[in-house]
Amino acid sequence: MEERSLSNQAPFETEIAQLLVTTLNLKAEPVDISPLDPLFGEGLGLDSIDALEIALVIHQHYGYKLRSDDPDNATIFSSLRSLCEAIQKNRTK
Amino acid sequence: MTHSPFLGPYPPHSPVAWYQGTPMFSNHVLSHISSVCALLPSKPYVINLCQDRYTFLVGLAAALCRNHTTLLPPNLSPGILQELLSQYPACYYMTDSQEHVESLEGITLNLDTKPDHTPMENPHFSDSHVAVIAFTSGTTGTPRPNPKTWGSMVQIAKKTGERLELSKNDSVTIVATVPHQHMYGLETSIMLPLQHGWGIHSGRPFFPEDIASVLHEQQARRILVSTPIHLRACVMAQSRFPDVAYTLSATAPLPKQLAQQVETVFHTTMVEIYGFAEAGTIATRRPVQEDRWTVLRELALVSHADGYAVSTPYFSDPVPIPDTIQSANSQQFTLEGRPGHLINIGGHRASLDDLNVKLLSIDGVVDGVFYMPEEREGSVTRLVAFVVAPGRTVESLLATLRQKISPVFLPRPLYLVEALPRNHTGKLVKEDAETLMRAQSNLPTTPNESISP
Repeated sequence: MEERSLSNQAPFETEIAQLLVTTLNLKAEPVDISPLDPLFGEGLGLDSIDALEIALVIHQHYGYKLRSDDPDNATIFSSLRSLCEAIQKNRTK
Repeated sequence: MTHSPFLGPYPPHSPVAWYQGTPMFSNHVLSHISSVCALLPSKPYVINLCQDRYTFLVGLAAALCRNHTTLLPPNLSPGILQELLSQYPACYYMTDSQEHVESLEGITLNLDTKPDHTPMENPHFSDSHVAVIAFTSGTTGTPRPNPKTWGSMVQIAKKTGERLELSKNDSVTIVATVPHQHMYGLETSIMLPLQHGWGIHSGRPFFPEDIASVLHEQQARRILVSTPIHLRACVMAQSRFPDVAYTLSATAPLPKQLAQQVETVFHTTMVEIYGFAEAGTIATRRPVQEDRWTVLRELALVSHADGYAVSTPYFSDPVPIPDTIQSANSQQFTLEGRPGHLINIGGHRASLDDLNVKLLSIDGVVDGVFYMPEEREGSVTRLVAFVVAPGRTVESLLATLRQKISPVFLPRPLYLVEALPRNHTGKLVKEDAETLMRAQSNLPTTPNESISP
């Protein structure tokens, strides 16, 4: 069983939540990002420019290049947890 | 009354578009248009919501065949839709998805990659017909209509294409990262290729890696239609891009340094486009070579009220230019920014746009913006700047800025931040700037005390 924080984030989810907050200068605290809430539209309210920024930092930190024609794409960006799973699966560093 | 054709000079083996990976030649397109034409209700206005670029253009052509006018709202929020329907009650919509608009008649387009309808002749439309009404969000919140005649759209496409040195025999495909439901996207990713016989990639690649792979798939010479935001992401992503003959950018000022990087990364000629809602594209420039914009052929700058207007063969009256420009002659000008962006500090005037471009041109500056805080009584209000520049110090940035701008405009203070809270249009709105400034001011060390111009 993975260790979970108070907000039910797995450690890697906390790491990515921190990255999102700093990259996008969100007013939220990383622990406040619920792992299953949508990142775009409702939920965190991110938009397409944020998506570009996220793609850049994920590439810089983990060597994973996001693509929008990835069939799993709708899933990848659906929540913090699915984004983290995609990074874990595809990371090269 | 003059008429202009929908399809330009496509050689028999040159596809008009790549739709779901399949080439669509003229006869396919004309077959699709003919089949969609038969489906349309008898109402004069249509909202074309099709996300696929090819399906959108078939819908646009079919509507034109029926003398309908396509409405392009800035978005489909309930408020905008209600406003639109009160102005244009005889209206329907077309879509290529499951999207459903409440209380509006709609048709869904599912184009088959093997159309079987008998192709129609290449349709010619009256140049005076209002083909499209593009709406901009007005200052009061009510969308403001900008009617576009078919003739004006054709002329702009032809004249813009003249700026790209491509021969008639070149096989060319246009790939666009911008939506076709806005004027810049419609003009450059649909009208421009249609009028010149160039191919259209029907998708909308978004991430740098998507853009790279879509460009790689194209066998013909490539044109990339994009924005400074996407181009910056591409340059930073270090993806491998194939050679692109021309890259077009609009929607926000393109810093010269970014233009240079784009030319290097894509082995391309970077052409920046200047236009505005009322007139569409009016001028182009190549930022790495020139600061001046040159208006399209047969256009001319004329004095108008306090500023300038542009006269064209396709609008009956000169159209006022909303930005402040300095004209060098009737064909060339430099852009000084929007009047709302003009600032005056102690009698010195400058444009925030211009200052921002200078800030962004500094080595190591990833993002940055000047901001004029709310006026406070008792002291002259100074500019502040929020700058994202990992690895650079406030002092060194100010030293560089001091060489580029008048001391009176040096930011007091310059805040080094991790990122800017830009909104969905890429702008930093006043409220967020004020919040950012308050947050930064509360930090224990403020770097402004020792800094004076």
